Amino acid sequence: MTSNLDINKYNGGSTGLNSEKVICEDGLIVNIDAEIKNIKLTIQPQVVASLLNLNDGSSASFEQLSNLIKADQNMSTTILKAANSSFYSRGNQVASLQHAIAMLGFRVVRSLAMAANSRSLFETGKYSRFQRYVWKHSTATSVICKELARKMGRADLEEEAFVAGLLHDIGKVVMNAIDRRKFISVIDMVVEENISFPVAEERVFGVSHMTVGMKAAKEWKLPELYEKIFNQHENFTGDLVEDNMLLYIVSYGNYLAKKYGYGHYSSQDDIDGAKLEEKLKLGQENLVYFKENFKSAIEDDEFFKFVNRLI
Amino acid sequence: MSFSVMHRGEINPWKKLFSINPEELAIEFDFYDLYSGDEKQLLIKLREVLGKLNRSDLSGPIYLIVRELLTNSLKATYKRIYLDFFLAEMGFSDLPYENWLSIFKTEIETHMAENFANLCRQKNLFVKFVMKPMDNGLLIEIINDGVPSDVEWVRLQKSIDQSRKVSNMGYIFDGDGDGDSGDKQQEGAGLGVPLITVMLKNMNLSVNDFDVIRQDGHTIAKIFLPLGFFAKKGD
Repeated sequence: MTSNLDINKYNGGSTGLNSEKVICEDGLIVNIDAEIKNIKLTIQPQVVASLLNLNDGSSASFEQLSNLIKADQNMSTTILKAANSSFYSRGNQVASLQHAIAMLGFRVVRSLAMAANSRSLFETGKYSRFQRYVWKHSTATSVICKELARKMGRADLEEEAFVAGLLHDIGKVVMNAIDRRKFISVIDMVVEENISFPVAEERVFGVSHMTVGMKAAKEWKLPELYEKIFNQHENFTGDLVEDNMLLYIVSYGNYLAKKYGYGHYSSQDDIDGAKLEEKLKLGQENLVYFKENFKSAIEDDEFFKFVNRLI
Repeated sequence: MSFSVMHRGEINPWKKLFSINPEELAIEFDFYDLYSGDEKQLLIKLREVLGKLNRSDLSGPIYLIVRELLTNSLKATYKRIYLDFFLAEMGFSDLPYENWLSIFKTEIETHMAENFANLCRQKNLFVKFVMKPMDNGLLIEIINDGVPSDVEWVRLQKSIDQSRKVSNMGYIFDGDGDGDSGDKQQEGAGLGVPLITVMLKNMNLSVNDFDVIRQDGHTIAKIFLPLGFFAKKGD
């Protein structure tokens, strides 16, 4: 549907709210909001196969189900979207997957996940660069964010930090689903020209994954907190107040994941990372732990291992 | 089914036979579910009205028939809101029928009607029960704001026609009925219609006094209880 996009005609910036329409070189006007509405995200077939093997609501299966959902960004999004839909929602926004699964119930979650999978036959994200730069990066970020929350004495934020870390780049998944060929061009540009994802995305799509992620969160009625995280995790510089705590955790987790080699890393990231460290005040001991020793902890993490077996 | 509306000034049969103002026989309820208490209120009201007509003995069977029709109507309403609201919101509107029906069934089995009833209240969608006195009997209507698909409509009509022709429910199990088609891609018309017609026959009512019609975007199940039905006892 899309072709090379002319960013000069693009109405709005990468974080602008008025960027719904982008004009392609061939004159087609692409409405990002409509694309998001109609998007068909895919679920990894290995995850689906594992889901089928879960056939009861025992606590063991419940835990396995929870792990399987966390193992797939698209499935996590589907389940959170369902829990926040007008059908299930009771006014309170559901930000944690555990809460969402408990609310929907074992069998409904499994049915929805299967339905989500059956909607798309093509595995748009099944290529090595996507897995490395998006999938592994998101998984590593989720593990780091959870640990960051724990080390900061914020056990109450661990689950949300995990989910937010896992989904922070959902905009990339959406863009890849909208036009996989163009998203491959984005990754090629990032790697070959050593530019950041947002810059490459602006060139190719006329819009960044942050804007797309934010719009997707809004369209899917995910908690507002996630809209902010999806939109600002790459360049957040606001005050470290309670409302921004999770955003800070995800921003720093995003940086550390790149630094560890999960995702695309550039020297600019270090500058941003230093600013985040200064604000977060993690303490010298924790900084050493995260910057020098945590990579092995990620590799040993059960969830990380579980996901990598699926890839 | 034959009934006519009373006109002002006509001799009122209800007044004449039972010394009752017809307004006392009118009942109206809106149902979003069948567990929040309104269904019990309906039973109480039916007992009260039928008691005034010397047939409180039939309040149980009539309530069972009505409840079956309410269940079917609510299920149709729930299906509609599931498709129109939840699946649309999820971006699943294009799911094949058998797939979304499977999720719908899972939702019903997991949470019963709780989520459906909640959304029905939010959207003000309900099934209406109306009992109104006519000049030759009582008319019960269960009105559902929506119509079945053509396929479902044909199956329902077939079920009504079949059940009118037989005296018991045995035909359902001999392969000609539609109790369970065995086809997981479709829902059978179920046991509701045969059960209702058999009960009507056992109450010495005509099966022609039960019908389901489609009218102005609504599906209306009608049961007519003729005046003679009430005059029997105590004659």
